[in-house]
Amino acid sequence: MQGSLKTGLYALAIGAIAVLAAAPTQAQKLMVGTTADYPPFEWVDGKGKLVGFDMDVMRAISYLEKYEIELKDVSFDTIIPSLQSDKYDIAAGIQINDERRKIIDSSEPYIEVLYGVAVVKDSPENLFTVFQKGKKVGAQRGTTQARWITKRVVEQGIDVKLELYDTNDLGILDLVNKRIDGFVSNTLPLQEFVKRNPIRISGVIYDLRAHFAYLVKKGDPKGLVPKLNSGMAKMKADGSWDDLKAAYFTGDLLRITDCNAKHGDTLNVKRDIKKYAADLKGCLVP
Amino acid sequence: MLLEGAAETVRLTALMLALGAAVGLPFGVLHVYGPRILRVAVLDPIVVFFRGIPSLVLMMIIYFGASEIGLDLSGFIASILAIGVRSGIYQSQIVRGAIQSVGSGQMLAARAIGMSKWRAIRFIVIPQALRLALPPWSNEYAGVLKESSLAYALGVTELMRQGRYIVARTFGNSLLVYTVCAAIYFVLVFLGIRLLRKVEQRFSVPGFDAAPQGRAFFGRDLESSR
Repeated sequence: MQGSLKTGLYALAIGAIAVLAAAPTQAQKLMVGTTADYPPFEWVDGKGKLVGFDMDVMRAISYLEKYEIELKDVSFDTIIPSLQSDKYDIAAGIQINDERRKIIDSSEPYIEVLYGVAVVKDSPENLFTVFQKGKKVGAQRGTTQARWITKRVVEQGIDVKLELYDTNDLGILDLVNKRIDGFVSNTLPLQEFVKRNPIRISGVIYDLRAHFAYLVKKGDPKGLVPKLNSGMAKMKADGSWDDLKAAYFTGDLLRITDCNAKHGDTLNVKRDIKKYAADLKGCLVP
Repeated sequence: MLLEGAAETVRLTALMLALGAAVGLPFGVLHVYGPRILRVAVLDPIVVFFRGIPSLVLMMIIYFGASEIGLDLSGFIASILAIGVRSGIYQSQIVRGAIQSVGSGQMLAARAIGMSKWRAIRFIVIPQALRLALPPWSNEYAGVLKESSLAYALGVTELMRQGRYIVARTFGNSLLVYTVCAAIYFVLVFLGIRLLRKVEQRFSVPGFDAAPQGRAFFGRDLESSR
């Protein structure tokens, strides 16, 4: 009786050591980190595959510039520290701003995003009334929009309460439940939430803009910035860039799993980028 | 997809608990029987240290600290190390408590029949202590299982992360998806504790439980725990 108890414990201990010893050895390819819960830039489809505008661009550039990549999902808070400590070589799907430029390098900004204020569909609130005295406004924690609200509204002495959320969907949930009066977010994901929740975008804050870029470690020790820029230039030249933009930013993203099934899979990016982008656009955009 | 996440959660939990047991058992024994200087100078500070730091912070320190010294740990390994060692320290206290609640007469009797101190610990005290440790250990199981969701912060695709994938893909089923995740966690904890209960019964010695001092039937206990 006691013997089997002991054997069990030994087995557990040996198992633990074996697994720890079998830690993956470092592969000779570039690691790309992203936070895969941010459609249309990056998310995970029904088959567990990383999809989205950034993911396809990363795959395409790696093919065009002849290097191997591995895409990995990382929590948002650890992306920039992970770049600095060489855990990842490229971070995709992140905004570049002056504050971040001090600690990292980046490719050319590739998209400018605008920020909208979502309100409950049948409420009389609008872009101006949500920033008035006594209102509660939500935003995702640690983002450009959260900082903008703090600086341009709260710190200006306007009595607006800023509620922070880890993710957009939690903020939208609170908005639908009327616990906040408005929710500020990037208009691209916001459009998708509008389709599926009783909310509307009451307006766009033109004072607030942000640029997305691909980030690398400060000093770019692996010389990736020129490769990223030339890869993007090649995609813009052959039209695949615009097709991908149309596919992801205007298409019906719920169809992504079906569309990927129909056109082989995302690996096709590497075979014929132009055809892949055109097919995806044809499939996602009604 | 949630089930894949649940499988990853179970893998994480099993390895964390195993590492915890591998750390906790020797630590617990040393804590009771080791030299006093070791306890005061080494073990107590370690226990205080790990009790005082949140697991998430520990995970970050191990994950990024390892790469500072040139060691590339994956998020999976780093979270197992952090929560496993944290759990090991807690488990050492469970083991310590269990050893201390085995009647001191057991040790005296074992020494009286000529066993060395370590043989007595090994064959008399520990077998009884482990039985006593099982009920509080099932608490530790439930704790570690739920804590494993922190591994998401290091990019491990466990149950909560899979849940987030679904929420992100479908744009706002948050409540439903998280409720299902909660249900899966509940079932895992429930089943695990039932299993541990069975183990407890399977190894229980008739008439033996937390021992009061000077109990009768020394001889019988000695027999059955061999």
